Parts: sequence; structure tokens; C-alpha cells
Amino acid sequence: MGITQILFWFLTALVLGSALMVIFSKNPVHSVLWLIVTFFCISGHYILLNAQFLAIVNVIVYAGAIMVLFLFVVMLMNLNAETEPQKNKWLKFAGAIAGSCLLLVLVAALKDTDAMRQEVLMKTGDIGLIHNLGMVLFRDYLLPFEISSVLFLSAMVGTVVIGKKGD
Amino acid sequence: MNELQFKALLPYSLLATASIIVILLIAFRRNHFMIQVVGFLLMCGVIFALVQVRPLLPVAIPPLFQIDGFALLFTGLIIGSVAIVGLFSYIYFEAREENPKEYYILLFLSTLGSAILAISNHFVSFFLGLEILSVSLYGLIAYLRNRNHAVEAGMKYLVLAALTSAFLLFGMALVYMDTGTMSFPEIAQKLSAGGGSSVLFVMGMGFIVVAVGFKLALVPFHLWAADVYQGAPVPVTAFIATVSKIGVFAILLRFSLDVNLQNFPLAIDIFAIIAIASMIIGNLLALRQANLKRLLAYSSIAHLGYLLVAFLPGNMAGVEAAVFYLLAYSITLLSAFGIITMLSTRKKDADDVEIYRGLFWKKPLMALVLTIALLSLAGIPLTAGFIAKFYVLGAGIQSQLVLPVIVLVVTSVIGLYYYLRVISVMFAAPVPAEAWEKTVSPLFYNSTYIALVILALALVALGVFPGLVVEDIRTLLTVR
Amino acid sequence: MIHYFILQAGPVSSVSDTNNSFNYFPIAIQLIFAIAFVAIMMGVTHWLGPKRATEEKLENFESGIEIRGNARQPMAVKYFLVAILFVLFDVEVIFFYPYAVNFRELGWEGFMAVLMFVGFFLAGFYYIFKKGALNWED
Repeated sequence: MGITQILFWFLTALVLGSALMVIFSKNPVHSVLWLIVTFFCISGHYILLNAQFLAIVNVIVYAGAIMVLFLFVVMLMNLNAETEPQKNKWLKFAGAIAGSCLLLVLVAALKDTDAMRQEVLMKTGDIGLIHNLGMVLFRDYLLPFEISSVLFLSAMVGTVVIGKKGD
Repeated sequence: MNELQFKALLPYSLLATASIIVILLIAFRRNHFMIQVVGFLLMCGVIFALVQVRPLLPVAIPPLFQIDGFALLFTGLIIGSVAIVGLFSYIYFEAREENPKEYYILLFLSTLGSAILAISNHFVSFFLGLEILSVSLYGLIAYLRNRNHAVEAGMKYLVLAALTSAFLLFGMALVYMDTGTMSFPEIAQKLSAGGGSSVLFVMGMGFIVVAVGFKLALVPFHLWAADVYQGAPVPVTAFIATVSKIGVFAILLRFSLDVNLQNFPLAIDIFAIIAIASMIIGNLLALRQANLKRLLAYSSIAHLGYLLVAFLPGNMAGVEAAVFYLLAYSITLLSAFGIITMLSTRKKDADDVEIYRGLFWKKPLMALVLTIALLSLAGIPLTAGFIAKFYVLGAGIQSQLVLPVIVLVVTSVIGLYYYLRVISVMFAAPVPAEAWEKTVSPLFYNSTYIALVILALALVALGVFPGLVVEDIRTLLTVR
Repeated sequence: MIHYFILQAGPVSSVSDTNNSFNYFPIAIQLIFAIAFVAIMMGVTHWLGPKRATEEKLENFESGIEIRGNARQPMAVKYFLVAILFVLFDVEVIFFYPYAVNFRELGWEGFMAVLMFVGFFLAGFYYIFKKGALNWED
């Protein structure tokens, strides 16, 4: 077992454990904190996959910014209420079935991916390195890059329109 | 990017610039009137640019875009619809005196998203276009947030749209994993070289269908439609019903044409089932609606089902039928929503069918326009809706799609009932109603009126002489 | 062995490229040291220090003022608006990273591209600023 493999198993155990903790913690703030741990572990996985840019994005945007939003949402709620609203039994049942269907799909889809490694690795598997990614982004995919700024613009305007009291 | 590509992209960059100009106008505190006029002129500029671009086509901008006759047709439809929606917006928002300016930014941005969908042949641009479209729509739907249902509608749309975006991304990832590429022509190459029936690809396509079906409000992904149509401001409802669906349908059509979807019986069966379910459920749910906006929501579910029947054969006849159907459908819906806009008052939208009781005796011209629109929706001869349905039926029969065609005919007959119900209400004896509110801006009121009459005339003209546009559609579609 | 870590890049790239995941090893070590340091410090202080819990000591400390009310008040939505705008600009900054790495190679063309990107954002920022979305007091 090489060092990558050891790291892989370690991160996997950690990510599954912390993801479970997200669901099982009673306190929503604890859930958010565990989610941050999960994100960090996933970033570790990204680095193992040679996708450094994704790892950085995951840490800065998700673990950094999105989690702040999550915390705000948690704090906007009324945490004083002791009792959680009890979910409908059928709803739980349907949720379990939907979740296991998704699991089934994932397993079915990924079970014989070994043959497809070459496709996904894009020949050398180093497209996720920041240097290469930057070259591709600013040469081949320049247009979508500019379009994405329009996307941010629409998000900005939408936020201000809904969030700000009218003048 | 060379000069030719740059020129071909001009309409789209103009669209993006339009939103920036409006933003700056707002920041400099210009009034609603000026923004409206500038916006309208910009839309005219985009249409002009489209006309100018026409002889240059087809232009490919690898790896993302393919600007051809097909794209031009759909972009033209989108821009034309937006110009009319923009016209409706003035009287609607001016009556509410409620900070209507940002509305135009979001309107143009979502139009840009829809137009990007019409020209993209790559998953990246597909996703970007769809996101621009839906992110702006969140803001648009909840725009009048002080009204009862607006925030509820916006919230419903946001949660479901975000969920389906996740589905879409996951589906794209699976397709990418199978084929190793994201551009439609390359996917088609990989598929024809073998494979395509692998679990990954089928799963991926399934997820993508979920997202597309949601945007088009096809059964079983239609649950949001009625609530959002009801809660959104009327011009936004018109926008969702036309522009957003045109864009998404355009990319669905392009993808299926590129990868030859009709070679995959499974995919065609799924789409056939969705089409049949949409036609049946849409029409049945509309039967007992007393709210005109909700009624139009269910009717648009059914109409997208009809449209899918034209999509199923995957040949040129089907594409022509689909384009003509979309043209007729957008004109029809725009005129119907235009009437609702004009009758809406400050306090509430004119969405209760009872408001229309005896409309013919009070405002005959308006009632006439709405009647023509509803008849066209029902597919009565001498209207564009009939011809459109006829083409769809022709395309379906040509490729022996027995079951969908039968369902189409039967459900059209069922649909007749609720359209005629609204019409009969309009021609019933009038109730002594309160006086109509004074209109805010005579200029825009009258121009909206004129636009509506022109739309209604266009419906009749297309119904009587469909040859006016069919030839043009055919020649444009050959520019590929 | 089944490749559970199927998508992982093989050892091919470790020699040829100087920018591979192995270069992140020092960061990993630093991270481990940081976490270990905090964990050890906290553990050791708990273990070494005496514990004499009295009622005053267990009371919540609120800058010496008498405790009143509950800390778990729902927050103002205003924070949320700022937080969303922050996320948007955060994502913008992320795009600079691959640009900065390739700054020299991309030359003027890349610079113009980024300038346009930033231009869109600045238009948005100007709009936000003018609308007073960042003003705390209404």
C-alpha cells in the first residue's frame, strides 16, 4: 500500500464519518461545523485526484463562503424551539426509497468504470492542475468564462432586488 | 476568435450589453419611461443585428457555439417574444408604482440565457445558459414580493430549479464519463462508433431529461407550473411560458438532432411516455380551473406535450412542425397574457375567470383578441394553432407514431371544453361591475393595444396563409 | 485489487510535472501540525489544570454585565444580503487564481479577457453601491 492509498482510505473514513455526523448532530451549528470538516476532506480527495483548482475552490468558496451562508440561515431560524416538527412517516419512507434508488444508480453507473479510466483522465490526468486549467480556461473556454460573469451579474441584481427594501 | 465569429456573436453580445446599459441607467437614476424606451430600442437593435448576421451563417465557434439557421430562428423567436413582453411590462409595473427598473435588467439577462441555449452545442454553454436563465427568473418571479403568492412562487421555483440543476450536472458528468467529451458533435461521434447503450450514458441522459422536463414543465415534472404561473407578475408569466421554454426546447432539439436520438428506442419511448402523460394530465387538470393564469399553466403543459410529438420523429418534417408550433404558441400565449396584463389592476391580477364575464359587451376588441388567442390554443381552424397542430399531426403520422397522435387528437377535443368555457363567460351578459381604473400611461396603453391587435391578426393570418412563414422556416433550417 | 480509487491519477504524472499533488505534502504536514498543536494544547490544559466548579464559575460570561435574555435570537436578514454578495465576489476572486498562475504566458490577450470579466463585475458593483445595498443604516 503506497502513501496515496493510505491517504485515500484515511480521507475516505474521515469524510464518511463527518458526513454522518452532519446528519446525526442534534445542534444545527454542529452540523455546519461537521460539514466544513467534510469539505476539507473532499478537498484532500481532489488533490489526490490531481484536481488542485477544485480543491482550492472547495476550500475557499464552499468551506469558506457558502458555510457562512449556512450559518446565517441557521441563525435566522428560531433555535429556541425544543421540539423538532415530526416528519410524516410516509415521507420518511419515500425519502428512504428515493435515496436508495440514487445509491443504486450510482453503484450501477460506477461499478465497471475501471475500463473508462483513460477517458476520464483525459490522456494524462493533469488537466486539473492550476497551470493547465488556466491555460484551457483562458484559451479554449474564454467565451464561457466571460458569460459566467454575466451569470454573476444576474445573481447580484436578483439578490439586491429581493433582499433590499424598495427605495 | 476571428472577425467572422465576432460578427456572428454580435446579437448576443448586444443583448449582454443591453443589460449593462440598463444597470448603468438605473445607477444614474433614470426614470422608468426612458429605461423602457432604451430597452425597446436595444431589442430592435438585436433583431436588426440578427438580420444582418443572416447571410454570414453558418458560423461555428468551437467548441461551444454553433450559430446556424436553426439558432437564428430560435433566437429570433426569443427576442421577438421579449420585445412584446417588455411592452406589456410598462403598463403592468407602472400601475404598481413599485420600483420597476431592475425588472428590465433581469429580463434582458434571462433572455441572454435563453438565447445562449439556442446557439450552444456543448454541455458547458448549455449549463451556463440554463443557469443565467433560471437565476434571473428567481428574481423575476418574486419581483413583486409584497404580493401574497410572489415569494411563495419564487421559493418553489428556486428550490426545484436548483435541484434540477444538480440533476443536470450529474447527468452531464455521467455522459462525460462515458464518452469523454462534452460537445454534442463529439458525443455523436463516440456514440456512432459504438456504445451508447452503456449504463452510464443511459443514466446520464435520464438525469438530463429530468432537468429539461422541469424547465419545460412536462409531466411528471410539472408540479411547480400552476403555482409559479399564478404567483409571478403577468409579464413574467408570459416570459416563462414563451421565452424560457423556447430556449430549453431549442437545446433539446439540437442535442437530439446532433446525437440522432431516434436511433435509441429507449429514449424515444421515454419521451413518448412523457408527451402522452403531459397531454392527458395537462388537459385534465385544466378542466376545472377557475383561475385564468393557472388554466394557461395547465394548457401550456399540454401544449408542450403536443410539441414533443413533433420532436419524436427527429426528422426535418418534425423540426419544421416544432418551429412552426412554437411560433404559433408564443404569439397565442403572448396575446392571451397581454389581455390579462391590460385588465390587471393595481390591487390584483385579472386572473379570475369571473372578471371576464361579459367582457365582450364592455371591451369588444379585447374580448375578440382573447377569443382568437383561446381558439388558437384550442386549435380551431382558421387560426395559427390549428395549422400548427396539423403540421405536428402530419409529422407524427409520417413516422407512424400511432399512440401519441391518437392521444393528441383526443386530448385536443377535451381541451376545447375549457377554452370554450372561458369564451362563453366573455360573451355572457355583463355584470354591473365597478368602473375601470384609469390607465397610467396612454401612450403605452395604446401601443400595447395595437401590438395585441397585430398579434391577433398575425394569428389569423398564419391560420389562413401558413405559407407566409413555412418557406422561410424551411430555408433557414437548411442553413446548417 | 479493485480500484476503489478509480479516478485517481496514476503515478505517471509525479515525475514529469512539478505541479502535482506531491507538492502539497508540506501543506498537509503543516495542517497536521496545526491541528495537532491545537488539540494537544487544549488537551493538556484540561489535563493539567485543576477543576473547581463553583456556581459563579459556571455562569455564562457576558463582559461582566448581568445576563439577560437568550443568545439565540434570530438575526437580521441584512447580514444575509451582505453574505450573498460576499459569496459572489469570492467566486470572482477564485477565477483570478488560474489567471495569476498563467499571467505571463497569457499576455495582453488574457489581460483583456480578465479586464472584461472584471468590467462586468464592476458594473454590478457600481449598481449595488448606488442602490445602497451595502449601507447598514436604512
